[in-house]
Amino acid sequence: MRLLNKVSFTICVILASFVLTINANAQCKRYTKKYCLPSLSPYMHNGQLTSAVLNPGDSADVEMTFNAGKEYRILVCNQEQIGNVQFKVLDKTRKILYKSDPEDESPYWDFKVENTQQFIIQLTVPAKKKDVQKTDMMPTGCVSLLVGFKE
Amino acid sequence: MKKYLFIIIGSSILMACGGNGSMEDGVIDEIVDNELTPERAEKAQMVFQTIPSPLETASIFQEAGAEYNTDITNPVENVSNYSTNAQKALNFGVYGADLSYANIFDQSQESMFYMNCTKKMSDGLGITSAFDAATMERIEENINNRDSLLTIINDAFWIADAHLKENGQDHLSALIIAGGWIEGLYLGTKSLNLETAPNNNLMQRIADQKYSLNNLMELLITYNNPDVIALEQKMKVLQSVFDKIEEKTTETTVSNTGGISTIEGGNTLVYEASIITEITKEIDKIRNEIIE
Repeated sequence: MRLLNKVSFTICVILASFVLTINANAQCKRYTKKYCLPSLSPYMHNGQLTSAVLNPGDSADVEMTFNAGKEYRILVCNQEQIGNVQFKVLDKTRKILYKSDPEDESPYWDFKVENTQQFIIQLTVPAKKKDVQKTDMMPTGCVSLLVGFKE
Repeated sequence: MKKYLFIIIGSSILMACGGNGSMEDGVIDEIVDNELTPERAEKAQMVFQTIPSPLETASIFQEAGAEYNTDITNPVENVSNYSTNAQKALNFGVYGADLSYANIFDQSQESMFYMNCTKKMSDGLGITSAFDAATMERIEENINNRDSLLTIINDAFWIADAHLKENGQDHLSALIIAGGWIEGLYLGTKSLNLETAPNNNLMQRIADQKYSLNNLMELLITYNNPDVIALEQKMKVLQSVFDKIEEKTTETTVSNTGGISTIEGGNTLVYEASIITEITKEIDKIRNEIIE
């Protein structure tokens, strides 16, 4: 009976985590559409919704292809509770081509490429400040990476 | 088209990041230190890959000189031919790409036809919320406003993608992406006239699809589903043709002229016309098997 309760509890925890994750991701998409997409203008959104719920200190690499002859805007937008997310654009050798200002709340970069290239967009959520007590809840927030292009 | 398009390669892939950079005249001359230190190892890093949407692909081919041709898209009469979920998902992607193609070329009437086909595929997969009555009404109201229409279509694809993932049908989402990519490339190759008037610009854009094919293959191999595996086997043949395209690398530089940063150098793909002919034949075969 005790074993059965333990198994049931574990299943409930897994299901609850799954539901919470789905809910968080759905909220993140809604946030992106409402608060981030308008900042892409006058660039046309490429249709890709690249967003995730991240924690302070998290980092993510996103590999993207940029086509010759087009003008692009890379825009990073995030919920304020996790601080200003910084982004870097790296080539395949991991040479940094651009890095955003850490003070910028909604950084973006406009550029074009001579040849079609694959770059890595590296997103970094600032780490939690050391003076914050350990008992504080770890904040999480939606981070969105949007790309627009001009015809 | 909405492409969820990102593939979690692994949430615990440990890669280095950091370095001390400086910025001069808009150019950052810095190499990221790739060495893994214990401090860095503590920080799990996520790596995502993306696959360009058929919307962007159609736009690239249009810019390279492709013209709209109503005879090359998947005929609307085929819409009732697809019975399995895998067929519906693949053709959801195919019709989605045809819809993007019609949209980019401002073909309102054709857009409406493909919108209805896309809706039928979506409904067939049980995703009635993607193209519900309110969405269809918005589409009709905005049929001549391309930007609004693209936003509505993107929304519908995001809803479909979310629905499939929430219901544990990620593999169908991958098939939608694959169908869209395949149709996008097919439409590009069909715009070529290799024998009478080869268009170098268009051929280069087709060769450039090597990058996105590699990303698509990375996505497909993550699924242990028989329908995805079957498609992956066919796509491997296409990938082997793309592998014949050479990559030449020079140093990447960034300059800032005319108010916008321009990135020069980096990778250049070098192709021969015979490789593009092979790609054309191979994608023709794969695509026609999907739509039959």
